[in-house]
Amino acid sequence: MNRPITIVLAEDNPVFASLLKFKLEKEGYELYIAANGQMAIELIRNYEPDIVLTDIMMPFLSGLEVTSYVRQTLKMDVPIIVFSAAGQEKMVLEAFSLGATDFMGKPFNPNELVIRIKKETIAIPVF
Amino acid sequence: MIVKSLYELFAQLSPLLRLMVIITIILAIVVAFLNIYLRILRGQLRQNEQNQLKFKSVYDELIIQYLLGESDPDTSNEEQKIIFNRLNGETTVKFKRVILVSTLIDLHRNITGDLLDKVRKLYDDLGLSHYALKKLKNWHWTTIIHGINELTEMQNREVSGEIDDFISHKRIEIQAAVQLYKANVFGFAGLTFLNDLKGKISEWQQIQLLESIRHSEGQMVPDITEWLHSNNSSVVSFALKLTEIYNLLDVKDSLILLLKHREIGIRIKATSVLAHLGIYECKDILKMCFDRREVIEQVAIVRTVTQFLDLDDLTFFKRLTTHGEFIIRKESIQALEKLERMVVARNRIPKKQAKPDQILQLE
Amino acid sequence: MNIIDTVFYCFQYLLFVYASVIIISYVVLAVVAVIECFEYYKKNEVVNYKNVLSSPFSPSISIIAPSYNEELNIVENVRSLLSNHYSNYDVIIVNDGSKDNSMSKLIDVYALKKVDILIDTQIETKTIRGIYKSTNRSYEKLIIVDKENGGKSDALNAGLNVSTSQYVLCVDVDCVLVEDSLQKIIKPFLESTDRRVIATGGVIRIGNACQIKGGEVMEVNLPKKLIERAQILEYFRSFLLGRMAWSRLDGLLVISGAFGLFDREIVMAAGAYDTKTVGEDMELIVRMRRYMREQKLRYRVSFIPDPLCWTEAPDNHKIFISQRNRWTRGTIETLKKHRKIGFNPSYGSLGLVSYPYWLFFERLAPLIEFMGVIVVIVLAFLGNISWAYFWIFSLLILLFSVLLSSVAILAEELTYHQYKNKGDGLHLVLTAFLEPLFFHPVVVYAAIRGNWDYYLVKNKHWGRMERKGLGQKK
Repeated sequence: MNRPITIVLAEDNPVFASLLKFKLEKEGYELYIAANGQMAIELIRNYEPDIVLTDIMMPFLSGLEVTSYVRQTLKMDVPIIVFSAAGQEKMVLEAFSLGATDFMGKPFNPNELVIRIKKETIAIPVF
Repeated sequence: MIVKSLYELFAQLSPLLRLMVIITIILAIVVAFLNIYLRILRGQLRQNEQNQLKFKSVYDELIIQYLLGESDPDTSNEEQKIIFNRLNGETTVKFKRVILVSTLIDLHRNITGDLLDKVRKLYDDLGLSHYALKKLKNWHWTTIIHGINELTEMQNREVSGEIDDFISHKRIEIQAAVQLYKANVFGFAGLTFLNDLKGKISEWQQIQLLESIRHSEGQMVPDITEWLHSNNSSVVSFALKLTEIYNLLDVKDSLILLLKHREIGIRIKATSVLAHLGIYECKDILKMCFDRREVIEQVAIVRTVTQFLDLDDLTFFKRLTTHGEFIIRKESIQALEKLERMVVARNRIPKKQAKPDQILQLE
Repeated sequence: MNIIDTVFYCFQYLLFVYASVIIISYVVLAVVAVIECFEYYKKNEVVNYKNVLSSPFSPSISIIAPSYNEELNIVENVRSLLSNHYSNYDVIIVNDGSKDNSMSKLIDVYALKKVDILIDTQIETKTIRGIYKSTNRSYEKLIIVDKENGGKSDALNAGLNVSTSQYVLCVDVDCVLVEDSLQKIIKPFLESTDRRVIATGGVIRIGNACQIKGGEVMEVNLPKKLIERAQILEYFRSFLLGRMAWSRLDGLLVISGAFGLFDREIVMAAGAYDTKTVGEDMELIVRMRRYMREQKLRYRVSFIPDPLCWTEAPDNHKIFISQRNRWTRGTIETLKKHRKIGFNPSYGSLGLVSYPYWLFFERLAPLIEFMGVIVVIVLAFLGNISWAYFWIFSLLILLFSVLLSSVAILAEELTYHQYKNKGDGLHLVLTAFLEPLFFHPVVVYAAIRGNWDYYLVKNKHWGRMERKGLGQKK
C-alpha cells in the first residue's frame, strides 16, 4: 500500500485552513493543521511530515520562527513552503535566508499549491 | 399605611430635600433598569457567541464541500444541490446570513482562479448580494457602509450603478467607502472620481486606495498628468504616490513643475519622488531654490541632491556643514566624505571613462 | 451659634450646587461618550487595517519604552513589543541607568552590539553610555539606549532624540500591546485632512488576572481583589466615558503615559518631556496644546477606545496610594505651571472649558470631599447635623456613582465585550456598589496625601511601582 505523504499546515485563518485541508486530502495527502506557530512546531516534532506549509504572519511564533526552528533546532531538511501576503516581500526574503524552500503569495489558487507540493515531494519514495 | 406615613415624612422635608429624594428615586429606578438590561445583554452576547461558533463550523464545512466537492463546475451533482438548498434555507435569518457572508469573504480574500469565481457565484446564487443592496437603503450610515464594503469585498460589478449614487453623500465615510469600491472593482478605471473631486482624500484613504489598486493586477497605468496638475492638493499627493509606485517616468516635466507648488508638503513629496525616479535635471533647480525654502523642505532637497552626487556639488555641501539643522549637517558631512572618495577614485580611472552624469543621461 | 448655623447652611447649599454641576457635567460627558464610542466601533468594525501594514507609505513609528530595574521581565517585555504586526516601526528601549542586570541580560539574549549612530541631541538629557543593536537580523527593529539614570522623563527624551520616526509611541515597558495596536492608533493621524493630529491616546486595560502568553492576552479574567476590580471600573469610566467624550469635545488634557502616540516633530518643538514634574504625561499634552494654540496652528488631540494596551495595576493599598499620590502631585504641578491658560479666552475652549473642569472637578474634588467629611464630623459633635440631609445626599451620590459605572459597563459590553466569563457581569455590578463605599475613600485619602506632600513635604519621592509582571502569576 502507498504510504500517504504527510503535511503540516500552519495557517491562522480557520476557513482557509479547512479549505486547504479538504483540497489536499482529496488529493490523497495526510494533513495536520496548526492554528499558530507554537502548535506547528509541536506537530512537526511529533509527526515528522514530508512537507511543511506555513503562513508568515501568525500568532505566537511567526512562519519565520517556525522555519528557523525546523532548520536550526530540529535540523530537519523537510521542504518548507511559506505563504505571504502583499507587502511581505522583505519577510519572504528573510524566510529564504532562514531555509524556506518555496513561497506562495496570497491570495493563491489551491490547484497551484498542489502543483508546488508535488514538485517538492516528487523525490520522496512511495512504497 | 406605610405609603401614607412615608408620604407624610416626605411632606415634612424642606424643598431642597424633597428634590433630592425625587432625584434619588429616579436614579434608583434607572440603575435597576440598566442592570437588568445589562444582565439580558450579557446573556444574549454569550448565546450569540456560542451560536456563532456552532453555526460557523457547520457552514464552513458545507461551503467547502460545495466548492470543492465536484471538479467540473458545470455539472453540479446531487450532493451539491442538497448542500445548496440547505444553505439557501439559512439565508433568511440575519444572524446566519452574517456568518455565511463572513466565510465567503474570508475565502474570497485568500484564493484566486476558478475557485474564486465559484465563491462569487455562490454568493450571488444565495441571493446575498440582494441583502447587501438592501443595506444601502438603511437609514443608518454605518449600515450603508457595511453594505458597500461587503459588495467591495465580493467585487460585485453589477451593483456599481446603485453604489455610484452615494459618491457625493454628505458623510465622508460613505464617500470613502464608495471610492474604495470603485478602486477595488474597476482598478485604475474606477479612479475617475479624482478628476473632479472637491473634498480631500486623507492619507489613510490614499493608502487604502493604492493597496486596492495594487491587488487588481495586470492593468495599464493611465495618464496621470491631469491629477498631478489638479487644484485639489490631496489628488496631487495621491498622484505622486502613484508615480512613485509605478515608476512613471513620463510625467517628469510635471514633477519638476510641482517643485513650485504652493503647498510645502507637495513640494517635499515631489522632491523625493524625483530622487526615487533618478531624474537628474531637478538637481540644479533644487540647489538654486534651496535658500528660499523652509528647513524641512531643505532636508528633502539635501537628500535628493545626495542621490545625484557629483563633484559639482562640493561647494554646495561645504557651505551646509554649518547649517542650523542637524540632519542637513549630517547629510552634508556624509556627502562630502563620499565626494572625497570620488576624487580619489577619479584620479585613478582612465580619462575616457564617462562622467557620472553622462551615464545617467544614457539611461 | 447663629453665625455657625448660617455658615453650615451655606456650605450645605454650596455642596449641593457643586454636586449638581458635577452630576450634570458627568451626564453630558457620558451621553457624548456613549454615542462616540458606539459610532467609532460601528465605523471601524469593517475597516481593512491590513492595507496600512503592506503599504510602502505607512509612516514610521518608534515605540519608546523607558526601563529601570526591570531585570525580571525585560526580556519577555521586549519580545512582546517586537511582535507588533505593523511593518514600518522600531522599538527603542531606554535603560535608565538600571542598577540590576537588565542590560547584560538584554545583551545576552538579543545578541546586542554597541553601534555608532549620530544622534541629534535636540533635548538635553543625562549622558548616553551607548547605543546597542542586535547582530541577529530577526531583531532588526530593536534599539537599546543605555544611559545614566535621570528619571522617566529624561529616559523618554533620550529615546525621542534617538528616534528618527515621524511618530513615537510612548509606553511603559511592561505593557502588553495587542498585535494590531499600531495600525489602529496610527489611523486618527492619517485620517484627518483639515487639522494636524498631534497626539492620540488609547485605552489602558488592567491585565492583572488575565492569561498572557508570548506577549499576547489569551484570556481576559476579572481579578479577585476589590482594589483591582474597582480600578477596572474606574478605568472603564475614565477611558470609555471620560476621555472618549473629551476627545469628541476636543478638550482632552491627558494621554496616559502608558500608551500614547505622538507626532514627534511637535513634541520636539514644544520641548519634549519636562523632567521636573512627576506628571510628565499630562504636562506634555497641555504644553503641546499650548504650543499649537500659540503658533496659531489647527490641531487635534484624538483618542480611540479599542482595548490595545494591557497593564498591571497595583494590587495592594500601599502601592496604590503612592501611585495616586504621584498622580495628584502631577496634576497640581501641571495646572500650576500652565496657570496662564486657565480662564484665558485667547486659549479658546482649552482655557475656558478644559482647564476649569480639571481645576474644579479633578484637582479640587478630593479636597471638597474631604472638607465635607470634616464638616459632617464637626456638625455631628455639635449635635447640629441634619441627618436626613446627610443620608439622602449620600444615597444620591452613591446611586449616581453606580449609574455612571453601569453606563460604563454597558458601553464596554456593547462594543468590545472583553469580560466574557459567566458571572463577571454580576461581579462588576457588585463592584459598582461596593466601590464608592470601600475604594473611593482610599482614592480621596491618596489625593489628600498628594496635596500634603506637595505643599508640606520638601523631599518629594516618585513612588516606585513594584511589578510582579503580567502573566507571571498563577
